[in-house]
Amino acid sequence: MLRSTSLCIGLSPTRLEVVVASDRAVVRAAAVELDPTEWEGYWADGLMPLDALLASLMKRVGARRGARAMLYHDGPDATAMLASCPAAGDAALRAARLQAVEALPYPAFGNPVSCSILDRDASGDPPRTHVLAAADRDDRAQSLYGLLVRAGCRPVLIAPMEAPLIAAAARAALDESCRPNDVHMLLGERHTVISAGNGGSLRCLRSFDLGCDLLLEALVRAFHPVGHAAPPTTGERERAREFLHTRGIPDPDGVIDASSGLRGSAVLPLLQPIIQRYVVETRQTIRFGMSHSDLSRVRLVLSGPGGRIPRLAELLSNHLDAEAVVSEDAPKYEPGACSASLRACVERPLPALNLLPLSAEARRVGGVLAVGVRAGGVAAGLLLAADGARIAHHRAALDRLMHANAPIIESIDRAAEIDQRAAELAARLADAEASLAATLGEYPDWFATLRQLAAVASEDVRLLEVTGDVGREGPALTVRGIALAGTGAEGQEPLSRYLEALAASPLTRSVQLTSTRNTVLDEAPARSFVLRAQMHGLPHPIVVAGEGKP
Amino acid sequence: MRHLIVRRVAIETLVVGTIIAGGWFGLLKPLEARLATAKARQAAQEVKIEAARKEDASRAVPPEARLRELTARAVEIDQQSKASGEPAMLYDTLTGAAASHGVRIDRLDPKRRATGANRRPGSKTEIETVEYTIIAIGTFDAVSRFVAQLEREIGLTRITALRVAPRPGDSPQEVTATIETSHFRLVRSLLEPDPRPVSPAATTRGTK
Repeated sequence: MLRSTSLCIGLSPTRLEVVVASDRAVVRAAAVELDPTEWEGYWADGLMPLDALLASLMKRVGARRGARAMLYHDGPDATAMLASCPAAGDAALRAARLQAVEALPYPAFGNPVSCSILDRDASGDPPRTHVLAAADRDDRAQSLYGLLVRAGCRPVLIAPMEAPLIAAAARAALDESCRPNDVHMLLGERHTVISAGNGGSLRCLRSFDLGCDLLLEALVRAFHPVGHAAPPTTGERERAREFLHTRGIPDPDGVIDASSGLRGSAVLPLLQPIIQRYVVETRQTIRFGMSHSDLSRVRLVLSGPGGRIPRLAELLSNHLDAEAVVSEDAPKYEPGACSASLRACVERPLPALNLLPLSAEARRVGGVLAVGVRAGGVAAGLLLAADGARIAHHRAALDRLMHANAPIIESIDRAAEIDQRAAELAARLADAEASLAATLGEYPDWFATLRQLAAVASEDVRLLEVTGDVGREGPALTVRGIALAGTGAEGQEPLSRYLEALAASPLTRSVQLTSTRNTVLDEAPARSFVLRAQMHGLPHPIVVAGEGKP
Repeated sequence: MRHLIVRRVAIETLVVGTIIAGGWFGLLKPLEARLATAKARQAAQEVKIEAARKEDASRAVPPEARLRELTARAVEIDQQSKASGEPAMLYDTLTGAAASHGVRIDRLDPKRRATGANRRPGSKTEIETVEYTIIAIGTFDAVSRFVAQLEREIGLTRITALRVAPRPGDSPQEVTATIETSHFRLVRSLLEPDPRPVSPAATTRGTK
């Protein structure tokens, strides 16, 4: 969650801190002490009185405008709790939310409530999920959000300071190395968390509003001159804080301030009620949270920012009649450095626990949704573009293919057109040829016929008239002539020979002598005759030429 | 506040969705349609090419060659038709042929002219007929050659009747031939496209 140059801001009634963090480590820190008596006033004014302080702190740490800022605070209505739910996942989160809502002193509706799963204890029956829940009033969250925005930050997280304390106490109790009789007491500035565990399972955890800031306030009052009307100065507060963490709970006879003659006996009455409250709360927690109430068997392990306050462990041990030790993990006090609570927030953040105001959260979610919509739109646009490119590519490939095929298609079309023209012409030709064949009919070859007649004629046979016509029975030839009578050398009449020769001609189908009459030719007996020859008809050459052609 | 954000997100979603839908409907869908059309055209091209390949493989004579043959035949018939159908040309041919064979034309009488008299039922071919009576005088041999030229070389000509008789008088070698001819002409050239659509049945041959 933390990235380079992110800001972590801590706000409590006694302190305003700004930390520049990088990779979960504090880089620079600056803090200013606050007067707790002004705390309510700050909130009443929407934290605007803190604007200048925060701006100066940011300037001191060199924070840039627009930096991501996480704010941990001890706001008056901010609360955090640990809910151990016999469920897992979302069911555990919902159960914890219900539990937190029921515990709230104000209506949950309209106020930010956030839950984060801390750990899962599978050893129990049923297994439990430890969920850290936090809530605040929305107007408080708005004030905090406004404080950050006015300071030029970009708020990304707002959470109660108590939450990291509870988380740390829970982790300490859930640690496998935790001894059964160990009771972890995590002393924060405003809250104290007591937890106990057993072999990885949580036996009890209780947080109460009692922190070492109360001890600090007691010391501040002690250091402040009696009867002085002005509020304690920042210097007095810093001196008291240093005294608390370096010298701790004073002896009654010990000298606290030699210049003013302030002794321990004057301070202890102010501290004693607070220590008593620690004792009472611890005893009650152990009594109700542990299975036994024998404090002599309990070892109190002190940790947290107030864990190393000198003599506090000893006093608690004496009052509780139990062993009390300081944990090695308890942070050492470093003057001028950031508070241990805020350092813990930097080092072990809880990113899922966020109490941003609902409007800001809605704006954030809306922004995320809007970004999602735009990203989706861009993705869809890219998809459309990719699809368009694919289509264009495919189309180009098809166009190339069709372009390559175009000459082939053109030749096919040309061939089809030629085919069509040929078919039309063939039809016209067929029709014309059939008509011509019917019209021209079959006629004899007149030239060949005349030649034939001339060839078979002789001195004995003279032709007087040749008539040809085409009658109903086909082409016919009528020949009128005179032939010498009597037999010749061959013992046959010339007319008979002539008839035979004519009948033998391939042009003639049949020859018929229709009449003969005796007459005289050149003073010799002769026969005048009329014969009719049926001729073979032939089609016209143009019709013959067309046969066998396509 | 939440309502405003929800409305803003809804409006953004609507705007983005509208832009995307508009882009899809306005650009991609027409592109898809054009692509589908191109695909169909390309597929049709392939089918056409394949069919043409098969047809080419099964065709004995290329279409150009077939059209050339048919055209040549049509030209031949048209020329024959023209030779026997043009009166002036026919007259010149007849007299020329007679002169070339030493035959004198004694008479050349056109008998009658008829169109469509021999038209077959359903045929589109119109044939005009001109009939002549020719009286020619010459030797038998010359008349024979004249007859040969008449029936073989003067287009669509038929000799329908013939009478040859020796010429009386002082020319015993000469004969008088009375020749009746019919000359046919196609009213429309075969190379002229048919003004009416050709019916599929008319494309078949073998109607002689």
